[in-house]
Amino acid sequence: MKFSKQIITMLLVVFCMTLFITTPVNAASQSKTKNLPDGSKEYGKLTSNAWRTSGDGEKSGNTLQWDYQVSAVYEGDKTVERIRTTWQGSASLRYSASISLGISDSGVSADASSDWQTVKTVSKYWENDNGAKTSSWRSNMYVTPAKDYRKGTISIANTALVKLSCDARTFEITASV
Amino acid sequence: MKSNKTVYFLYSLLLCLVLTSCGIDTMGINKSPENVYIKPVSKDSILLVDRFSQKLVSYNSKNYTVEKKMNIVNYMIYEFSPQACYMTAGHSIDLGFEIITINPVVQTVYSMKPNEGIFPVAFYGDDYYFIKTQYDENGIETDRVLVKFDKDSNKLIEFSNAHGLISYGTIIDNKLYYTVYDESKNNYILYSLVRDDFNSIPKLEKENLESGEIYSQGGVLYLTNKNSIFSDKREFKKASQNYFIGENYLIQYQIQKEGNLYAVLINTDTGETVFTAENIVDFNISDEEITFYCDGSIKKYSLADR
Repeated sequence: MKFSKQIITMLLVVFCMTLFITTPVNAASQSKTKNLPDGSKEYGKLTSNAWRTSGDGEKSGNTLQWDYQVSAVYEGDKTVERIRTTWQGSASLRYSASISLGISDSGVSADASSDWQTVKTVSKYWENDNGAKTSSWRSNMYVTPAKDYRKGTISIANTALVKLSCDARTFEITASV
Repeated sequence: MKSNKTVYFLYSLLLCLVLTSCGIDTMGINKSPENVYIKPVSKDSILLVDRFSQKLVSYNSKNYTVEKKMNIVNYMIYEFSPQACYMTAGHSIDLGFEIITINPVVQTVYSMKPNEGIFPVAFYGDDYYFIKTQYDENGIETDRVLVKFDKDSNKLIEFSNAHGLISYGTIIDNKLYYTVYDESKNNYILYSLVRDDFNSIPKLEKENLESGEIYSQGGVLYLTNKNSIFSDKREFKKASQNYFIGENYLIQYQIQKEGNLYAVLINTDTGETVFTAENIVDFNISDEEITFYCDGSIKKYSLADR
């Protein structure tokens, strides 16, 4: 009986180690929080989250792809008039290479020069104005062609913005990864 | 020898502290407005307000791109509509609020006290109405009052009986309608007052409004709920931002399914969408046309012969 317990424990340990080893740690993320309106946290807090797969993307044909997720989260007991997440991707590119946020009208190209240029996508938005306390978006961004992407330069910046019914000001916080 | 080393170490430590303190980021309250407000980047650039993100931008009208954006987090622009001469600006945490105008760079018109804020409510001709707020040392709002900006005397004149969480307003002739947020019930109350009588007693017009935004066009008052803008005769779907223009137009900033921001021009007589501008930044209006400044294009809608 005692022998079988030891075996089960060992198997569990091996299983957990296997999980740890085989699950790739392949995501980069940043979470930034702002107390509202200041240290007193009278109105609660606002958090901006930005997450993407790390490294230099998954190669698919001639493109490099990264999954990403952005969100704005309000924690507090005030009524939310609107909460918005605004995100923008960027990368260093050359020779007319382009970057897209994986949604329509978000692609932007570098110029034809051989010099590396920081290219930013058009900003995209998602907003809830129905009293919800979160707003989020998930997609994948890509660069094409892969050979004209400068390694280590992909990034996504996300601004969380909230307007509370009790205060005339809008508050924001930005996370970038 | 050992004491020399100690003195050298202490001097090095002191030097490091001095250099570090020189590099402290002074974002926000210690930045003067001259450092906050960007200027047009080149001769082809104009200063616009990205009305959705509430930031000033330098827009290149030759290649249709936003070249530079006011990038101080929580330093926001608060606007009436493109037809107004004034807007307000300030930092949501550090305050430093003021009334500003763009001509063609930012000029300060009126500066608030360090513990005050100011936000647009409504305008009619040259008469501009704002809410003036006060904050305690923790940034918590302690008072809010309706004011008129008197350009000639460069003063804010308070409406002595219009306090509370005043949120939105609109003007029809000599009446200023405004909504007050009732935090205990989580709804809004509609009041009106005579707009140039600073001792006017506000008249209760309507209670239990679901949303606070109110508008007017052609002498008709429009109220809102969570989904709609409505009068007795007309109803429009509410968008993120709504601007009633002239006698028969409504411009809405709408977020589309894929996160794209469009400006949509609606004829309020027919309810039809007559024009759409993708990736909108700002727009302005003349007698002849409405110009939409977009990320990637400039689009114009002619008002002639309509």
